[in-house]
Amino acid sequence: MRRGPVRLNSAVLTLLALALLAAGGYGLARGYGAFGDARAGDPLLGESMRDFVADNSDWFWPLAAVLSLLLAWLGLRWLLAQLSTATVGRLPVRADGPGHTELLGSGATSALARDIEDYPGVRSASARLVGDHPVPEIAITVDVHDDADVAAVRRRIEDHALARFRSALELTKLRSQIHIRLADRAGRSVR
Amino acid sequence: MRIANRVLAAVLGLGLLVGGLIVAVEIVVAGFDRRPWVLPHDDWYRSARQRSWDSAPPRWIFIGLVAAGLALLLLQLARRRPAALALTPGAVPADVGRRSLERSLDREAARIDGVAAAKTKIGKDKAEVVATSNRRQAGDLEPAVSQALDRRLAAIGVARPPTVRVKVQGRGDR
Repeated sequence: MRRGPVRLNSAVLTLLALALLAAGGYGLARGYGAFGDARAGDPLLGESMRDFVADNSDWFWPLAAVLSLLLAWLGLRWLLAQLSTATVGRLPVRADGPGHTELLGSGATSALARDIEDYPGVRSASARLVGDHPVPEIAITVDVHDDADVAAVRRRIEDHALARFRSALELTKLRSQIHIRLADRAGRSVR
Repeated sequence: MRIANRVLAAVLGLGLLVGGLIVAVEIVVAGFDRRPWVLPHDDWYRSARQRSWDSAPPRWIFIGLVAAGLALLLLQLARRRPAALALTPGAVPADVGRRSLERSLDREAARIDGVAAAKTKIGKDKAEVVATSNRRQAGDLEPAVSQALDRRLAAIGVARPPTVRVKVQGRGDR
């Protein structure tokens, strides 16, 4: 999962937890007389609140409806952020002539993964282009055997596979991230 | 942990979407003096005018809010194990999957003469290894396993290798 939504989830859920604690804590404190016995016996919806809403009903309810729609929109954005993988489907390629050329992201990343799989010690590799930044990012996952020279595999990916990838796509800037998984020579790898 | 947050976020996002839309529709419906569409807000309104802060039903609701808030806060503050460990800085940032590293260290430990099996758990700063020996006396296995795993972590190139703590269980301990 991308770091952005991970941080967003953590921040929003922490704020929500604090809001729930504050609301529940205030309700309990008031109910147990922390602000005086008279206030503990007040109805939940006091007269002053009812009068305020009745006196301002010409703008209060339209504003409440708009805020509800805003909350619904934020909920939709938050939900979509969880479902999105941010993988780039197509990549624009610089062309000299008129027109617009795009490369299928999966084709480019498959070629890169095949390059890496040829290196000694590598059992399998996969790559995907990740979006939401003006400079594309390539996330590479490599399963290497336990006895592989991890540093050498990294160097070859950096110096050879990624250099070829950049040059083939004529990318001047490319952010990259390599994720290594260690695998038993005979068995399967785990995350 | 990340998965739990993601599921929670998806459920809450869906709840906000549906809840927000329903409330907006209810406000419009109420504006035309129609009966509530989905939410019995007229009952809630009457109840909120009659019930006081110190009555039992609101109190239970507040207790529920505090319990939910505490559970959510504890979930966020829980010390989570890293999903991956960063490798030494290079031209391209790289990391190694924590679970695959744990299994790799298990295999490395099991290669040592006298160790039948090992189970590693990597936390934020330390790696705890429980090695099972096929010897009656574990002897000097602890430093041997510890040194082998330190060498392995260095060979992989983990940027901040966790401190390895080994516990050997001999045949006599089982």
